[in-house]
Amino acid sequence: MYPLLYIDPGSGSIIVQALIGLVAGAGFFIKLNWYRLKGWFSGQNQQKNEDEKSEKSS
Amino acid sequence: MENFQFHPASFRDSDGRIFLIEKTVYRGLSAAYLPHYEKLKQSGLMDSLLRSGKLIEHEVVIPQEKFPFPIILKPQPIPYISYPYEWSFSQYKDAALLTLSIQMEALNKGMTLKDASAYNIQFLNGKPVLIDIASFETYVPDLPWLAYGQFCRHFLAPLLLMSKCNVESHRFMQTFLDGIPLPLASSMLPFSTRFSPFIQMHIHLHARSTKRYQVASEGKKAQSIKMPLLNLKGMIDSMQGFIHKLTWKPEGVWRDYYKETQNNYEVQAFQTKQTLIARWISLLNPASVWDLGGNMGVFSRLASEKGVFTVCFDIDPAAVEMNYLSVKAQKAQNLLPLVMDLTQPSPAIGWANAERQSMAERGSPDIVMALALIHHLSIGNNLPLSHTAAWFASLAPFLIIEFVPKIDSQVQVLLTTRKDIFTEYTQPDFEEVYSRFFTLVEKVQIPQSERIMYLWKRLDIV
Repeated sequence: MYPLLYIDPGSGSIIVQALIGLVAGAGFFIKLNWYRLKGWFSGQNQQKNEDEKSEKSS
Repeated sequence: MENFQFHPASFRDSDGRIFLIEKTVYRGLSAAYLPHYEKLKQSGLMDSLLRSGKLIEHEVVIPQEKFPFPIILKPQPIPYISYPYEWSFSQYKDAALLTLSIQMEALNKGMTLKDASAYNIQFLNGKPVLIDIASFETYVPDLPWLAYGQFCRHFLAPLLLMSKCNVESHRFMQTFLDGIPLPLASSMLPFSTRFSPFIQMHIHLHARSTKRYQVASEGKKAQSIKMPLLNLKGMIDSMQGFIHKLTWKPEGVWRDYYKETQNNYEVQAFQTKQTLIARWISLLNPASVWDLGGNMGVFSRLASEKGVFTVCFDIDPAAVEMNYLSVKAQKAQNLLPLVMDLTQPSPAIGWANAERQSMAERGSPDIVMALALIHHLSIGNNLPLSHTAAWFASLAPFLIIEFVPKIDSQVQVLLTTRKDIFTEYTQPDFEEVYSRFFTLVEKVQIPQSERIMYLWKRLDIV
């Protein structure tokens, strides 16, 4: 049960925002961790490139 | 307790009520609200919001025994209370963004906004500020934002209608006291908005959902819904991003006014008018000025730049928008631009017609300026001179007014497509009628123009 407020939050508003939150939450997670994710991917790629380079040079 | 009275608009939330003693405004916090107030202080949220100017400054007053509140705050006075139906597009947008940014900051510090009313935002020195300190509650984990529906009705729907339909849609706020009903907003927005996932969800789907879940039994089901903090912050963040990108391009009638009227207003004439008004303002040394029909606020600034609090009212949302944007850019103090149709100024509305005050009730300026306005009222709106004189006299003890005679090109434009029934609109008639309400202090003919400037003093002023 929610704490009751002096305004009616509206059941429709709660249901809709819960739905929106699912999408927006995922988006926000990516946004917050974007640089980490980007770093992780580019780090992997960089590693891969470096591996390829070292293979070629050997 | 002498002259203690609750503000007529402060009855909805018992946690923090506004009352007045003489003319000083106080906010009393209830005993039930104290834990939230403590959290607001201890979490550092209050300090942070005060530092950034997002929350109104206030001092804590020691309550006398007789007062029905354990804590009493005395907020910084707002020189003129404005309402959302008087804000230009960017004023509205900045108020919405302020509300969301406060909610985000609150969530980061373990609190949440329990309401999101547009009436909780006021403009102080060109910036929006939250005036209701009792809007904060301790955040309960996984609780959705209970003020989300109110935010959509008070901010999102009006902004979308202003941006996508007509910029004057903020006037709906005057009719719908608790914000524009979402089914109405949904029916008015263009069909293309249904293809925007953001608008589809927040307005169209939201509108259908509010209709569907009106029944109380459905309400109980909704109370079991949980919303993780990440999702809630995600929603606030996406709303901030969307509203930040919302635009409206001003295309007003008066936008090019100062350029187009070069024939009447040669540079010298314009400067004469400015010098004259500046001199009169210095002479009268007012505490506040209202510039009626003040356009982009060129003449308002003669007062506000001297430190005189000035409200610049204009009917044209484009002029008010440009005025506000320049106030913002210049960080101008003491100037409040507002949209106002002077032929029907904002009325008193709400419960017992006392909740939101009329335009005139909210202030008492020392000087009213009506520059290049009288012909719009007298000829554009058929108002007899006695009506305008009586209204100006009811507003302020001093009046700076420009009489624009019929031969002026601007008046001729107004008469192009109408019968000239305005036989009493002459300079002698103007002087005779205005003398019934005012004493003439000074009268100056503007060079290279047919226009005349008057400084009038109301009859009861010695």
